[in-house]
Amino acid sequence: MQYNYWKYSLLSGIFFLSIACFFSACNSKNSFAGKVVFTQLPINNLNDDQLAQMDWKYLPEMNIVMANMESTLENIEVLTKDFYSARAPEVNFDGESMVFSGQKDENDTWQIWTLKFNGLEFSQVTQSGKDCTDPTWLPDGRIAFSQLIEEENGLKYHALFTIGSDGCCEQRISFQPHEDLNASVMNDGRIIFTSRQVYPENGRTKYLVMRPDGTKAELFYLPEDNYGKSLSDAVEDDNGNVLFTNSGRLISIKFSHPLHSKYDLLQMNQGSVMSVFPMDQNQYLLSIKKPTEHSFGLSVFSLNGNESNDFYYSNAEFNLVEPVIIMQRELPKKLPTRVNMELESGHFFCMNSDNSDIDIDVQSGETAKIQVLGLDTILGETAVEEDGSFYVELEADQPVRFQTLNGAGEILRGPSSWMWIRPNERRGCTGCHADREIAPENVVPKAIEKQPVAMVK
Amino acid sequence: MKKQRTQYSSIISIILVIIFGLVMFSFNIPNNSPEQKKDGNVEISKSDKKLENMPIYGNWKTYTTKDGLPSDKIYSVRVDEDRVWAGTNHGLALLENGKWTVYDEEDGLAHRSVLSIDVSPITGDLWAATMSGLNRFSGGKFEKYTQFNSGLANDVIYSVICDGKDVWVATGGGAGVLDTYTGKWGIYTEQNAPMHEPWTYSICAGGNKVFIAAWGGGVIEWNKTTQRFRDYVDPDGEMEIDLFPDDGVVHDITTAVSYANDILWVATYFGMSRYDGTHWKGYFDHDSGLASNFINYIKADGDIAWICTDNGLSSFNGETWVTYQNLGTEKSGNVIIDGKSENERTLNATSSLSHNFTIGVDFKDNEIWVATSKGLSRGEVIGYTNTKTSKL
Amino acid sequence: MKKKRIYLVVIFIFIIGVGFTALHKWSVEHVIYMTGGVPHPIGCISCHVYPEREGLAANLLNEDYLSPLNASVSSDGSRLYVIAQEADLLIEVDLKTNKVLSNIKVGRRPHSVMLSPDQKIAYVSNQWANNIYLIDLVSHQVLDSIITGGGPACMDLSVDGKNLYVANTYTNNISVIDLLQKQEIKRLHGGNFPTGVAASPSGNFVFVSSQRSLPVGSRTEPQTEITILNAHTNRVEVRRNYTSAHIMENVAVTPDGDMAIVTLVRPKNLVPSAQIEQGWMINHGIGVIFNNGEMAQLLLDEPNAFYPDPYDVVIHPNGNYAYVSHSGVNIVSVLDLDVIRELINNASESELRMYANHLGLSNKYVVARIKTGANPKGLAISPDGKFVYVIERMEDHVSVIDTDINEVINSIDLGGPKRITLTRKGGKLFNNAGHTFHNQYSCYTCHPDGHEDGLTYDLTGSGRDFANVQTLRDLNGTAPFKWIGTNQSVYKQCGMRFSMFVTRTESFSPEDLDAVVAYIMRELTHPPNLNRLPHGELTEAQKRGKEIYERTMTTDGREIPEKDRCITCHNGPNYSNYQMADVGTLKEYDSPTMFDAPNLNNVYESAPYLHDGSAATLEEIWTKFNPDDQHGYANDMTKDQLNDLVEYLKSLGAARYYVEDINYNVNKGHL
Repeated sequence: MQYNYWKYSLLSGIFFLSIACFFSACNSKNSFAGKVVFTQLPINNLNDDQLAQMDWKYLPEMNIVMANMESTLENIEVLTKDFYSARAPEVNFDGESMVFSGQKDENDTWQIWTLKFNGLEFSQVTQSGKDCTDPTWLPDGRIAFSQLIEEENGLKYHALFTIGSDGCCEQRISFQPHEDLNASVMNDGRIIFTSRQVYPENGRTKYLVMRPDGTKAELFYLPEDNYGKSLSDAVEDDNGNVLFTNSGRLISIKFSHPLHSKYDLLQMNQGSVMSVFPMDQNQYLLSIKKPTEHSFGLSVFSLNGNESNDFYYSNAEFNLVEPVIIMQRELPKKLPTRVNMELESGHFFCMNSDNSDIDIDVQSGETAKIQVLGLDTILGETAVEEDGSFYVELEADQPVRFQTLNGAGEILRGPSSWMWIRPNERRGCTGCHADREIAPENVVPKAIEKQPVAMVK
Repeated sequence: MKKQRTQYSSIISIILVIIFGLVMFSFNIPNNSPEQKKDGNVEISKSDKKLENMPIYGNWKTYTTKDGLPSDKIYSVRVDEDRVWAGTNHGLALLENGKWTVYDEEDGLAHRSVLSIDVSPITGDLWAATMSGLNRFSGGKFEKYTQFNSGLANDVIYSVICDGKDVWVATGGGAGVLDTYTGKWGIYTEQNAPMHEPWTYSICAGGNKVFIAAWGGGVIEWNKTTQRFRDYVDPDGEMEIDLFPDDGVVHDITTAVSYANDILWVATYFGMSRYDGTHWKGYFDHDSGLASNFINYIKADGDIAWICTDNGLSSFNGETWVTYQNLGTEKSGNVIIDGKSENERTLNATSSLSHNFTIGVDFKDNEIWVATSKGLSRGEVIGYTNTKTSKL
Repeated sequence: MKKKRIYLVVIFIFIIGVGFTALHKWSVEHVIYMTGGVPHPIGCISCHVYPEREGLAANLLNEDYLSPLNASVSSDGSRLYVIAQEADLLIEVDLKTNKVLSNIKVGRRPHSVMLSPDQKIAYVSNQWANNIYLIDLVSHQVLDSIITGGGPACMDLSVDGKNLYVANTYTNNISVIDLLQKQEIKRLHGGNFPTGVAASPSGNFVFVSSQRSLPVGSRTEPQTEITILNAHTNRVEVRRNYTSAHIMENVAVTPDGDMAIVTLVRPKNLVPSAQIEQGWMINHGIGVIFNNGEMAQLLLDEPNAFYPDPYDVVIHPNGNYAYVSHSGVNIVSVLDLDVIRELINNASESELRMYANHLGLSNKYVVARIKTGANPKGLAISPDGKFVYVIERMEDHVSVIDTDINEVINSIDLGGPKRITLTRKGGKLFNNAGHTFHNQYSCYTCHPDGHEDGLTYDLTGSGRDFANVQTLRDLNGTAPFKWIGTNQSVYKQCGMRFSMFVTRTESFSPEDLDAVVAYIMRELTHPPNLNRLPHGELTEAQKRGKEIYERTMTTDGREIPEKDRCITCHNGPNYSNYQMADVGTLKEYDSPTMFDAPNLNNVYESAPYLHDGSAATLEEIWTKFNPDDQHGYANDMTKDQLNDLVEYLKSLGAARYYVEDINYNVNKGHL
């Protein structure tokens, strides 16, 4: 009898334990899916110009808020109530956590944080002495973000970095005197970000793309002059469109053909847009200030520019910006890397330095040399080959520019935009500021048949 | 023993007498001159010997570098319908619609010296034999075959012909054949053919056979049906004279072959042979209308063989000879009918071949084209040997 | 007793545990070695079962798919005749009901079908042979066969229906067939691997496109020929080359004959492959040739989106639109031909050169991109232009596009197996560009028909060490791979380094890698070598060549050192000992290395040769690149001996065709 008692107890225990495990497994379903997360900006913290210039990255008393999205927002919960200020939420691809930029206390620097929705568990990622902002998830689980750089000469700008979600292995990936901000990841695995030259003179803000290891940075889109410099982060939907806002206008460009496919999605009289997030079924969640409103609220629009009547929310005390939906998203491609941090240089070649779309009259063959410029120095120069090609070894992770010279040493074109080479990177160009929609000619550039000319300090 | 010695002496004596007689005979060729009428018309038919109807060409026009040819040294000529191809020592030239177009190595020609040309009647592709490879010219493009990139035996190619789908070449390293359908090459040298060395100089095809003029090896015949070789050599061996006439090809240093109407014509540097499949007949400049024993090229058209020598152009149909010679200028020449015979007639012409060193010939309809060392000459039929008069 | 039993059980479990642990450890190391470190689950089946061609497991795991390739529509639009290439069938489909009516057995690996003007006869080209079949479409019987050159592919009828023009891929020529005599009347020399044929509606010309570049020499851009025949004289009228283009699979002519359009690929094989962005590796588009002789190339790609492997092109009867199948991305592009006409007519010479590389132009003339099923290949357009039929090779389906709305409105099931095996999945991956950055190219792009594209590429991006693309056919048992023999398995070949240096995007997942490898190892095979005699015997020249190949003595009686004998490195069923050797072929732009002895099966169709493609022909391996007899003792040979050796090499083919295939007879191929 005793024996039977123990046997039945054991069996019962096993049975109930199994039931508990089963239900606890059920409970692991993401109960946050479908909710919206956004940044709440106190209305009085900045004026319209500042808002228009997207200059809110480090403003005080911002909060990240989560809510149910029905016909309006319900169950609004401030997620970052323990932070002095926080913004720029981005949900991970598995929909289980988010990354954001936050200032824990008033005198702290801005750092990158993650939050697991389940259990509302916060974790600090960066431990930098400088402000960090605009984080975005990478498909391999790491995080890309912008960090303030203060040079010895007083130059200040933001560069892009990557870091593990556990805070490991922080690495800088952009190396130019530019404000590199608003990073996000495209379906092809590359990072797209806004970039504006700050040295030696201020330039136009444009979208650049590059691989997450900092290689192959190139122009993605250059807004027209009359649109000012305030660009949001760019997002890619499932239809091959890339959307962003530019001084309040909602712009769509084709991913496949970005330079010449701009399309204004909304009429001016529909409002001023600050942020966009692609939802399912060709719909987009916008942070929009309608003409009749005094603050930015959230609304759903379709691809043809029509506003959904199903949802709208605004708050008179706050501008609501940077909305994201908690949902699972398809992982972008994980791009391989050939960067080797044990090396100190990389290689760069140009197929034909005469090939240019700059409207300066330069005769074919007139280019005799190219000059490589550092931040404030001439790093070196080399003759171009008879086919206009040149091949150089550059110090890795340093900003460089090029200019072309004639036989008399006079500058023909340049300097070019800033660029950099990562350690062990091999990079090529079809020309000097050549049309980016033209693939290279199928030739062996003469310069590559020789050893590269070292432009290393 | 003494009886044997006597017998040998007799035989040798007979042989010597025969040789002496032949030599003497060769100096006794009658020289008949035609009567020349003041108006230029010449009475041709005078003797009672029946003359075969051989065409007579005149109204010669010569093309040189002044007309657009790349060189005056013309090695070969080939007529292809209304186009005329000339192989020169500075490229391949095409005369079409009255204008010359020149192709050289920059265009893909294997070598500037084009020694032989043929055009495939099936595909229309032109094949050019050069000093450094073989070209196919088709659709405006050259394709080059060399001994390095193909099964071609040797890059020095003296002769090329198109025989159906096959292209045969005579090269300095053997004869070769390319099956254009499969791309397969065959090579024939002294290793696998009855040549005593691989230097071949000319090729022709006919009667289901291919004939190869082998320098120092007579004529090599390839039977396409039996897939076997045989050779025709001079039975006299190395002798510089034709000891026994008509016993075979007159000499083993054969320079050209041509086949038409079941007759094989063989050119050597020491005379010409004609072979009907059973009998050989030799011809020399001392006893026939042949312009010279030093024959560069021969081409048969029907019954008539055209023989390019270093001393003029001869034509012969087995009975009648007509020989054309330049007398120093283009405006003066001789037409010698049945030279070295009692019926010999010489007509003075007011136009002529550009030079007596003739290297190649081709014809179409009433036109003849002659490659010489000083230009390409074109003539047309102006009469026949059996007509009473002919205006030159 | 009970204790003893317990002890025995414990010991038994212990032994099993230890054994399992050791086996597991070994398996992990084995997999790491074979995959080159690519993370891959332990599974013996991946490498040792799926890639097998024979055996019970292979039969159970695999299916016999139809793999359709091309098709023809009847003149009344009621019937579609589809070539099922891997099933050796001609499938008749009723286009009213979209049902298969009949399957007609044809020859080996049929390629294309043409219908006679009276629609009673179908001409089917049998690419793995040297003939075409004439099929009676009423009785569905093979009426007759006509000999052609080797590897007949596309065909077209002359306008008067009297002649049929057939592109012979293996022998590089074009058969002109007199249909009244039912005989080939001539064979014209074509480009390199001629494939596409189209007769102009004017009746004056026939266009023949080629797949491979002409021999151009090392480090020189490819030149691929389009051969234009005079349809009256049946001679080659003109040969034109498309520069820096190849794989011109098909050609079509507009109804008024003002232009011919050919699909093509523009490789950047000479450009140092430092990156893939901006079309730095391979572009895709069309070639246009106007009736005034003007030629141009236009891309169908976009700056960040590529449309690889354009295969077929058909033109709407109104002459305004062309439809191009992109078999690498499952898309059919619709092109506005009036825009193309205007664009080219108004362009200067320098603009035309620029257009050939301009990725941003296509949006001017591509009016629609229509999604299709996997691997769209041949296209057929209904006589009224209302429908375009898309042959989906990896689906065993035909999609029907309504040209009024440019959408797929129907799908015709050709009756292939419904189960998608791992190998089939691998086939879809192989033929799809989804695993390269921006879909820039698929495996097929450099390995058309599982073979190689005849080009050398600068994959190191350094201007050095150009590599000649190698075939993927019959790879079983031929490891290691790559010229320098560093890849011990195809898993490693297609693994992480492949994604770093070639595809430049995320590497294959283990499941996808299994599928691709299974497809490569199992499905990609050499065709039979038609250079032999009908029953597989060697010709006399080939026999002589074999003796030379196997010789141990020089021509003057000295012994050849073993290392210098052909048979030493090139032995076995694949003619390779899979060892590394220095054959003295390194050039100025090569890094010091030895090379893995390549396989020689079907070597006749793998020009150019050597690691850098520097030998344009087999002869050149020894006439130009073997001055010191390091690549086999050969300099003592006479030219005819070398010719015989080359003839033998050209006869090398997979033994299975000549030993096992007792039906290999004259109807199935000999040149």
